[in-house]
Amino acid sequence: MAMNSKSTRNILLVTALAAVSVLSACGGGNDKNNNAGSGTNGGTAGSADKEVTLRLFSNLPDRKSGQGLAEQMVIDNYIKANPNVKIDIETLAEEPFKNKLKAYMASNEALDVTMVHGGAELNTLVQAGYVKELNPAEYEGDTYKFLPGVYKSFTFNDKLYGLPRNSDYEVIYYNKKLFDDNGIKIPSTYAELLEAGKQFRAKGIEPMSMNGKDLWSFAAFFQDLVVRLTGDQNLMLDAVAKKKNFTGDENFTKAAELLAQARDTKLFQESFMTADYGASQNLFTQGRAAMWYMGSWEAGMATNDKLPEDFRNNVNVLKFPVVEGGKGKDTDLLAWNGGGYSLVSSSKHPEEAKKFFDYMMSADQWAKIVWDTGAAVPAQKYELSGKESELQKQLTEVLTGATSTAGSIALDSGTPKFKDDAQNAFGKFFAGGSTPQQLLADLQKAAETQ
Amino acid sequence: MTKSTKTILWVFFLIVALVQLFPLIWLVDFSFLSSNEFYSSSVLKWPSDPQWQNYINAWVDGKFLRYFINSAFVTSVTILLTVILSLTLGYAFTRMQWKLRPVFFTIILLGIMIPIHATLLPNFAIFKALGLTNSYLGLILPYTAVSVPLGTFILTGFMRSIPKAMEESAVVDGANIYRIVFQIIAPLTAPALVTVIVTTFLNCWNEFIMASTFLSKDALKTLPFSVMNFAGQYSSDYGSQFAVMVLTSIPAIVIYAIFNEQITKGVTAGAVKG
Repeated sequence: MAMNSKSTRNILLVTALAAVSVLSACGGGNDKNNNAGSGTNGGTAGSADKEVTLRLFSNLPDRKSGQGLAEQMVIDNYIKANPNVKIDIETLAEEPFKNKLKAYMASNEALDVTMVHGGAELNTLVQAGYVKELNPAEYEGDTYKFLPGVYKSFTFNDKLYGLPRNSDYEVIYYNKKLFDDNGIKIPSTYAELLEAGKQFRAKGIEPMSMNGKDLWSFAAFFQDLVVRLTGDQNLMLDAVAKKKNFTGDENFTKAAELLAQARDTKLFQESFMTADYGASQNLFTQGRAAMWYMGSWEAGMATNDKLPEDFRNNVNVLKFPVVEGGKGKDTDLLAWNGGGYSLVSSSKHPEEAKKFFDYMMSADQWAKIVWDTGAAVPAQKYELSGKESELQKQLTEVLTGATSTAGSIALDSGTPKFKDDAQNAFGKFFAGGSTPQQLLADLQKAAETQ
Repeated sequence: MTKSTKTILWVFFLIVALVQLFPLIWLVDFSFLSSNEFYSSSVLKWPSDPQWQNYINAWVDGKFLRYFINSAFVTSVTILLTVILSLTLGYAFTRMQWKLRPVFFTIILLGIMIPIHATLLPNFAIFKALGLTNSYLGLILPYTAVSVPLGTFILTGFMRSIPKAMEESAVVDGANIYRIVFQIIAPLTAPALVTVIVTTFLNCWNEFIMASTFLSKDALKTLPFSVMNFAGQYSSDYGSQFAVMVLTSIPAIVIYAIFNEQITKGVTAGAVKG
């Protein structure tokens, strides 16, 4: 019996060991191959025609529509022109993307190009030395055609660490038919906006759709109000950077009071606090809300044949209305450049990666493709192709007519903790009904404790 | 029981069943809608034009089959390891006398309190150093590690209720320790083992955060990634996502339906005697 139990134990041990080694071989094997492959490539990176696999990390998992499709088209174009290059794309949606990028940064993963969010998030990467410095002089001129001032959230200590891919700016989309049918004036001042809200509500139509659950729209709306009041694009950014105070400032107090008016006159749809992006968009595209406060990246709505035709013919763009007595003009645009791409320092093929990066950012690739497909408004000068929808033309007018731009959205100009706390402050304001003073106190606290 | 009370009872149970099943019905219903129909005011909507395309998308663009195979492999190996480890540990803690037993038992049970995601970044750093990221093992090890404590807890409770006389007679008949554990004890603890299998299955089958951090290679990705393939930066193709979720939940439903009775038995038996 002693023999017996010993042999059984041995058999069990051997099986367990075998299982473990087989499993690790499964995954580990691939890794080794990769490393071996990249090792040889690294040595001869200069010469073309060597097989190279570049790693791109992106936050656009849907490769069949919108910006994901545009990104994929750029990649396909590049591979066609450079058959020796393979591009290994890893994609995750927003939140998992941010988490994993942090993990990659912590472990210095050898990515080649990564999508980055300008501002606080990129700053973290810069401080960790994970992304490469770029030379702005290389990106001047006709190949790239970047619009002036778009590097703001990609620049730290006067050094550039990434290139923006889009111009994002907040506008009010509105359904012209709903305004016309109900005889309501298209608002050009904030008071008219609130008045239009009341009239729509009286007719049983939701005035303005808002993605309240996501919270960031409120912060943008508030920033818009501050800019309309003061004409000063930097005031709110300075307050986040603790150079000014949210509390005890008459402009902020006035802006918060105006924000409270929007809340109290029920400008936003019923139960707007539970509506996420999709829900708020749907309410608007189904013609059940007259307006939608959203960013310029929704230009594709006018050409999306999944949406009702009646809606597509009537969707228009409105600049955020001026505030009576405010110093701001309606051409002071809340525009920023949030998303972009950076080169990763630990790249195993720095030269090939740079070639691909430059190709992607050239004006006739990403910029042209997102514009043509209506997926976004690029951060580069683009030629009107003549095939633009009415909506795209209006959006272009808003951007080219802007007399000042913010460069950064206040919510993203602080630390991630500030963003969290500030969003919660707005959530508390809209869901819990706290006073304007409380909102400002909460924002002040968020700025101080970030 | 009079007929009327019986009827009332039936109606009551039917309502409860309907409430329980509603999310599932809703899921299936909406998987046939196009994304634009998602936010209508009606709770359920008859798909006048059923979007079979959603299922085609789920299968092709969602890479359902490949991810399914990966999920099935990772989950089954995890379950196998969990069952073997929990069973042997459970036996060691209930039947064997050794010096540090209470200490180790407490340490293992402490594992129940550690949420898997708290270990995310440390694990990532360690696995990267060991070259375990981008491998099946990188998922199987943490999944097993968090499943074993609960499994051990359920099994020890259950084993205490099994009379020792069984093993004594087995020893008299010349059975060694492995035979006792795997041929005498294992069949007796079947209901508890099924509970362990099912809870482990559910935990691994839907786990995403860990998988998304450890895996970059498309060939290794598990089912929750499939849903991701339809997520845009701001809005998503909800119809296709729902189709993926319907397909993903089918195995879970099948497993639960098959083992339904044992699960109830296993949980209560373990709980009372523990």
